[in-house]
Amino acid sequence: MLAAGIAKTSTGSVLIGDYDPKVQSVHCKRIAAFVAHEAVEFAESDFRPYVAYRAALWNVDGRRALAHARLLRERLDGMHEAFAYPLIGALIGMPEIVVLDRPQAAYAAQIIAVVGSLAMFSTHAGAVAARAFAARDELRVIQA
Amino acid sequence: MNQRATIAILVARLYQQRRIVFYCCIAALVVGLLAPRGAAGPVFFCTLLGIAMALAQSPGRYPHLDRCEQSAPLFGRELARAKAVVPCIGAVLATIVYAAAAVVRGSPDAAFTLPVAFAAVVAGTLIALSAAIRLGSARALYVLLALAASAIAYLLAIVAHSLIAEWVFCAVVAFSALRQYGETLARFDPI
Repeated sequence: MLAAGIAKTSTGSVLIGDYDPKVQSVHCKRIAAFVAHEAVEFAESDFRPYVAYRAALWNVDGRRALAHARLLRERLDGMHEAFAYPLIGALIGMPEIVVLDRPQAAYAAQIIAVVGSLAMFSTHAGAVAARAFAARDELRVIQA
Repeated sequence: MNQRATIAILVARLYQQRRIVFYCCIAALVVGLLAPRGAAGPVFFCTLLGIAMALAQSPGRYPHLDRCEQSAPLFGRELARAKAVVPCIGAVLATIVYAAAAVVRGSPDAAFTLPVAFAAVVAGTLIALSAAIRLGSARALYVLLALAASAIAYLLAIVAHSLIAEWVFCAVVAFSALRQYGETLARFDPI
């Protein structure tokens, strides 16, 4: 399921898994993973230290995180490191929700393949961009 | 406290800022060779270096690290402690290099100035961290506060001849500065 056109609330708050982000942001960050739009300069050799860094921040077992990351990297074959590594880093924390900041339509198939059954939120502002990313049958798009 | 996360943040930031730390150590070496005597040199010059390294933690300089840290399940105080250690390590290293240069030049009081300088430099650096997350006059005010704290520490240790008073003052100031930095980071939350 892809929810597109996410906007900041003007009043009140939206609970994430029964947690209020304003009060229990740490719990919310365990549930929701964020993948930024901006590409990050990575070389192939940065893979292991980057995974170790993300695993330490999320307090995930290092060896398990590396094995998980390698599996995800295989599924993201063909995707540039600059976009693949942040997505892998977000997924090794085993989130329930993935928030994608303007994901690229060119990588839609790979992203959907690794995110699997997790709920996806994207910050696409327009319906056209959201449809371009999610123009596939297995995805149900909800636009805010 | 998640020590793994602290070490990961520390290593990642020190690696990214290795050039800044290196240049600060070189600057401390040069000034230490030129002005080896007295405590004023290491206290004030190394505080300036600590302020520079604290300002290097400003948001936007390493956006990828900022995003990873802000989206990680860490409390503001945990993040503050981890980020605060980075400029403190750089500033302490620069102070050690300064003292080493003073010893090389045959300064008789280099060993005594080291504990005086450590306390003042760490307190000044921690105050300057709050400047790193502010702009304009508020930023300048925190930098001035850091310099003022360093000057008070110097006065207590050297003019008033009370090393204990300097340490107590610096401990109180450093604790308050770190706490305030943590609270500010906790308020700034991407969620």
